[in-house]
Amino acid sequence: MLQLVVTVLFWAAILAALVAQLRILQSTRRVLAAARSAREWGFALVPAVALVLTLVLAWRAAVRPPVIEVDLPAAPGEVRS
Amino acid sequence: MTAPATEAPRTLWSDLVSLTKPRIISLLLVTTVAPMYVAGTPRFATVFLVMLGGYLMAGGANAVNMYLDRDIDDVMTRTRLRPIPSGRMHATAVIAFGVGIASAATWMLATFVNVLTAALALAGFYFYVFIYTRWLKRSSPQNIVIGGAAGAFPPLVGWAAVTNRLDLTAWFLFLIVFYWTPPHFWALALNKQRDYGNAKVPMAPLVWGEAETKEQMWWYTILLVALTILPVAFGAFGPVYLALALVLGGVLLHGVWRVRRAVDFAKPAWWVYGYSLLYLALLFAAMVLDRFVPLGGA
Repeated sequence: MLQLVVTVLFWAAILAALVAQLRILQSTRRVLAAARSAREWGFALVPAVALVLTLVLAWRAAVRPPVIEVDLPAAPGEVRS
Repeated sequence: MTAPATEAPRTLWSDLVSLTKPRIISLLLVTTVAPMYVAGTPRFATVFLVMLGGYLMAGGANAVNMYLDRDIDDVMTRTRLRPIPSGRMHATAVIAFGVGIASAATWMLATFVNVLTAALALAGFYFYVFIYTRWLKRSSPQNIVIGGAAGAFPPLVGWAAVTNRLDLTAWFLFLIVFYWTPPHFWALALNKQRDYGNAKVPMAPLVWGEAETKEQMWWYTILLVALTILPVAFGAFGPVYLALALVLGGVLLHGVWRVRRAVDFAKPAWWVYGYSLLYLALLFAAMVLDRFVPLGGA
């Protein structure tokens, strides 16, 4: 698969997720304008924080270079478990 | 309440099965088993044990839910034929059955699969019974949002059964089910407002209004579809999954868009409710298909 397509989709999805989460919070602010309930705000904010954390982890996983395991020959006298 | 004349005669066995809500569990099992094949190559015995344990745990949670909700089940047309409100089963027998099969599931998963799997399945049980049913369902219009986490445990259970740990892909599967829940259940709630109103359950359309609920359905669906694409970027899935996720997600977005735009939303909302069930099942099937039809990953 073309890496460019994946990269574009990745950033488009990140942007869409963040905009959508922001619009959900804006909508929540509208419906909670009268209520001013800290508990309801908590219910809206906890998933938003979890989402941001997951997106950061996804970004770190996406940009992490692949791990190449090389099994070097043992040095003279080296004992391997 | 007298049962309709066309209804088949109920036996104790059929009532016990109905307490577990088998139709709902069938989707939970898809979201449990598919991640097992994404995480690795499970033995058939492990798959069988996880399916059985998962059924018993979710079935136990559903039975306890019917015990706790027996008062409102009696006033909602959708639920008044259930075993307790119809008088076919005693409430004490129902909770004993629910706790009994959930306990059996915990023992079975811990003994024959691994402790992490049992702990996650039990956490889903507690979340559904205490956080959703007991606390949020009758007290917050965001009951479905936070309560959705209960239905998102099965992918974690399936993943842990194979790997005995949880990694980023597993958490993404959790989030996919979590964000799938609001548009799915609000599509039902839009059409069942009178029922929920009679039962004094503060569902979003009743508290926030229809327009704001439809607005949030739309943004939750965008968030959901975006989340389904992201695992491709870090190599969890390949092009087969990506193509299917885009098509399935596009159809869901179109359906929710129709609900958002419609003044008379009954038909499109029912459509979204039905399609979203199919969507989740096919999305998880696509994850497995991607593993068996590799066309080159990202």
